[in-house]
Amino acid sequence: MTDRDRREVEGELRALGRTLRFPAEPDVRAAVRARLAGEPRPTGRSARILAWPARIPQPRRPGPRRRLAVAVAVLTALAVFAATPPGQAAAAGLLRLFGVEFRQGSIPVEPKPAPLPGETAMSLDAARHRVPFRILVPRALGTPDVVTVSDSGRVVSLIYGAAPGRPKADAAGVAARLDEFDGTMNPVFQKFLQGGVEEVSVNGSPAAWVRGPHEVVYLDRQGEFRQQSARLAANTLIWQVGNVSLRLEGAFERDDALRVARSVASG
Amino acid sequence: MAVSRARDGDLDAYEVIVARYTAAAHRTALLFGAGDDAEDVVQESFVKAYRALGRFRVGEPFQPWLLRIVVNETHNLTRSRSRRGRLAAQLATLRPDRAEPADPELNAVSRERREALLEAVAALPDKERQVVTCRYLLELSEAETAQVLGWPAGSVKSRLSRALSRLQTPLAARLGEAAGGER
Repeated sequence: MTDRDRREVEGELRALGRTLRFPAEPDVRAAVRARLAGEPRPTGRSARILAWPARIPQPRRPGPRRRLAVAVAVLTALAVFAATPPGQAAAAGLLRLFGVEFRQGSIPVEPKPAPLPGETAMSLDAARHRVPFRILVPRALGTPDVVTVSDSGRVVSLIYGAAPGRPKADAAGVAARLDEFDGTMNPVFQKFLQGGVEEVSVNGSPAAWVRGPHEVVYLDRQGEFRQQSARLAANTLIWQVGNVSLRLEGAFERDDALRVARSVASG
Repeated sequence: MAVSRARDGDLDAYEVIVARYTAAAHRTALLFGAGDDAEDVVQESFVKAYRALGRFRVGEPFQPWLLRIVVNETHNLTRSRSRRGRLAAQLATLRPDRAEPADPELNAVSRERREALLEAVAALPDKERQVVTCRYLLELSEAETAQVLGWPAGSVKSRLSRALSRLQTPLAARLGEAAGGER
């Protein structure tokens, strides 16, 4: 088997993994917590002598209604989260949506935040060959001025400079930034909020609108928090199209951000 | 950070970890054949992982450490039942999505090729299928694959090579068919 053959099979296998259709993952937080409540702090040694515990039977979810069920779960989570006052217990203040973790609270930001790991500028066409999902481009913002790919194809970012029809650019000359990633795997960003998330809708699917500056930090492939990337983000809209999560940031008002989101080509 | 707090018995911190790694744990359980029991496997794995946190070295990547537990739990579950036929059937339920292809260039021919490749992976000998699943379908590094499967690095390399040779032959045959079909 030549190296070329090997690379070809490897490429096909990776592509296969990315197109497999997995059912939505369960939320086991409450069940796990209920089973661990009251246990002594983990030591590592006691685990070996504990007997296999009986599995807690879980109700099976109906298949055909999955999409609706997911939408309802998202809306319920948003409502619960929005109703949680800032400073509440960390567990109540955690929300995971579209590959983004929302936390209540605040973290220090870096004076000079680092770019995403390995962030590299390239043409949109080159980027299309580097990321394992389909890049979506909103018509309402025109052509992105810079396209970057980060962390070996995990995130693609479309960056828009000052131009008519775009929001006011920030000090770095960026009017809007659209990060896209596979939102069905481990979370990619973590956001720290003082207030809540407003539940909105993009083409009939649930979306989250975060108003006001808030800290955002990159979570690497291992789920580790990259403090050096911590920065203050502007107003942000987060939504999902298929398996692609989109995170649009800029000095948008909500309705302008929604208009941009709706202009994402779906075909 | 969250891991070291959880090690001190902070269940709020552990809940963050559970939320963060559920998707990866669930995919791993499904790919290793947990089927309808994948949710139970994920729950069981997080409970066992918490109890074993004292053995986790803070600063090391958490994900492969957790996935090792998930793989072992899945094996515990499936050891007793006749798995061979079931596994193929379960992998078939994960067939590449027809409705929403992630890749716009994915045409009918390449979709068929991927389905045939999935069947070929399901038919591999156990250990070769496991190593291919970790390395390519879950996209773990060779070192992470070794950790998740609990094998020496050399076994990962040699089993990967054997599996790739085995998969390459049907792939070449399919490429031929695909080219023929387009004529």
